[in-house]
Amino acid sequence: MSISEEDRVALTGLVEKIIKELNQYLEDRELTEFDIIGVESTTNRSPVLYIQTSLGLESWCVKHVYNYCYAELIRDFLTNPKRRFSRLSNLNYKRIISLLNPTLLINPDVTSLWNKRREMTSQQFHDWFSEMHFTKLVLTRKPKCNEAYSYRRWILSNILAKDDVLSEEFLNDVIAEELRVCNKAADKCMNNYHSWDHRAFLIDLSWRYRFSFDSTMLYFKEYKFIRHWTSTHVSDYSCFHYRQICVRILFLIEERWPVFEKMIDVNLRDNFQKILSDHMTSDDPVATPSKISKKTMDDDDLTALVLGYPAGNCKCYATWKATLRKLELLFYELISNEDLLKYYPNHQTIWYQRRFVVNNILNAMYNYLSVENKYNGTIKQLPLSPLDIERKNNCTKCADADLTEHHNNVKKQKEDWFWNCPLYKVLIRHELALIKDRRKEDSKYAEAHENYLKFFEGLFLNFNP
Amino acid sequence: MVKIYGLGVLYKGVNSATILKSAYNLQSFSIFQRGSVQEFMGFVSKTIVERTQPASRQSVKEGEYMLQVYVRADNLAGVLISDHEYPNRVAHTLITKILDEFTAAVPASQWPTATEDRTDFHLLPEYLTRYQNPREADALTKIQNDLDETKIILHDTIKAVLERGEKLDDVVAKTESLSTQSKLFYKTARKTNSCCNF
Repeated sequence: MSISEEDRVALTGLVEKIIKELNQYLEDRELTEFDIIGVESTTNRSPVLYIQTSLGLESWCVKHVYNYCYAELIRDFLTNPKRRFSRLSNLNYKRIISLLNPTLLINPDVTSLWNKRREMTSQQFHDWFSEMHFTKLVLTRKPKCNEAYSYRRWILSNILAKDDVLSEEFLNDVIAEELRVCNKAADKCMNNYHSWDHRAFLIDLSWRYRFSFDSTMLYFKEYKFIRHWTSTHVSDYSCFHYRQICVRILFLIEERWPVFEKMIDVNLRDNFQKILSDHMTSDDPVATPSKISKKTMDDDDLTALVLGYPAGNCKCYATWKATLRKLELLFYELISNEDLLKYYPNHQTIWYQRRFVVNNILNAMYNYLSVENKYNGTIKQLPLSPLDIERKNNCTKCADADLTEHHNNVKKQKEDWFWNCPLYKVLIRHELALIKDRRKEDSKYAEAHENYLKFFEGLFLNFNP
Repeated sequence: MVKIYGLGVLYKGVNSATILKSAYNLQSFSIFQRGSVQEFMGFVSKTIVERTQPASRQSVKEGEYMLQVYVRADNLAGVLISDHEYPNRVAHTLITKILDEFTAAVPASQWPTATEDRTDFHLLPEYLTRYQNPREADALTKIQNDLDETKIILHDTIKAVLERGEKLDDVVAKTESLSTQSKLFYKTARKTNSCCNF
């Protein structure tokens, strides 16, 4: 359908007016939200609406505005070779921005336009913080827009790269703001992979700057947050994946463990001991029921109990401690996963999360004993890394232990020990009990979990209950 | 996602149902949509109560939403609108609880004539917040024991609840309780839901 010249002029005038109005709002006010409102007929008033701090555009004019802006941008500023390479002047900069704003608000999935923004921002035509604000607005309407997130990341890395010394307060503010944006986007749209991906990027970022601000506290808070979030978003694997990231980063934290326990209101040690005492029998080689029932065991005893290896005040203490903390956290994950499983039957996501936990417990054990599971009922002793050898040589107790090991047909002994290791047995018994319990209500997934343990993790092979 | 969007107490009259009290959680909708969404939820609550037999419970799935209805033998009805992951058991326990408390607070003689602003019952917003996370609100065992014998009838779509030959689109088009704005919102929501939205 072609329109007459007269109509075209009238339409151009109208669209120009809408563009001007939109940009004015964007410039003047602290906006928190943008949306397109479904309205069919045009009435004689402006289609740009403004309520509280929200900006709205009536749907009937969207098509005209978008086509007009997009056409001019592509024709004049993106494909025209003369203009494309000529230096940006202050004048056409303003024009480009005023066209880019409405176009990206309406359809933020055009990479070329975002790149144009990048080009202009990097030439200092636009200020970084107002750009952050603009992308936030885009995300209120399209919370799954990956372009907006990647633009934010680009700006963030630029801002942070500019200063050599970053103040703690600044970093805290920046990260808090990003988390707020992610929260909002994740709440608006379920299974919002991009939002969780962005959050994972923030964890990475904070690790890079961990010496400039209190990142440990951030990780503690994030764990607490995600524990709550996952309990109300039980079929969203994206957020469970983020939980895994949080768990992994906590492995690296060595300090302030009591603060963490207090924050999440769990005694990790008690929880771990409870599982152990529930599943240990008197037949187990090292298990002494009296020992386990002791109120709170100290690190040495517990390590000796679950992983063997006599403890003492040698220098390898640090490794023990790290492994122990890892196990405590993972066993807590195991328990809280069970809670969810029981409350929300038939949710595959929760079962998948469980695989992660089990896999990590096993890996922690393999690492500690420096063995490799061959998944055919045998294990292979791994050669010690140079770091481990150095550590062992520096430690008299370990060197002594090593010496005695060499005398007593070490290899066989170690293998036997592995299959009888209390931790290994407790884990298997615990999983079997759960599978049996869940079979009644959740048979499909319980069986899948059993198969996973059997065929992927190679459990049950040398296991006699 | 486990989330409650709305709670309502209604009275099922001879021909139509009236809302006695309602509360909504519309944070995740944009400010421009909230009015329409709320209006629409009220409309759906009424429709569903009108089509539910007294002394029965229903859980109706519609798209990503779940409607939980309980109409008591004395024609007092409770509706809970949540997403489809909200546990049905918990939802119905909550409705029963709310109706009990409502009966205690508002005498039955007032039900047929009461309107929303004149009803003196202010617990709904509190329940709405407290039960957003059902696990924290109530222990599991307690919930299992609490629920009475009335069986919950499950429906996969709202079509099953409407009378034969009736279509939701027609019901929406015919009703007078929705503004044109809200009707348009329903239409556009239909459209956006029908295309793939990753």
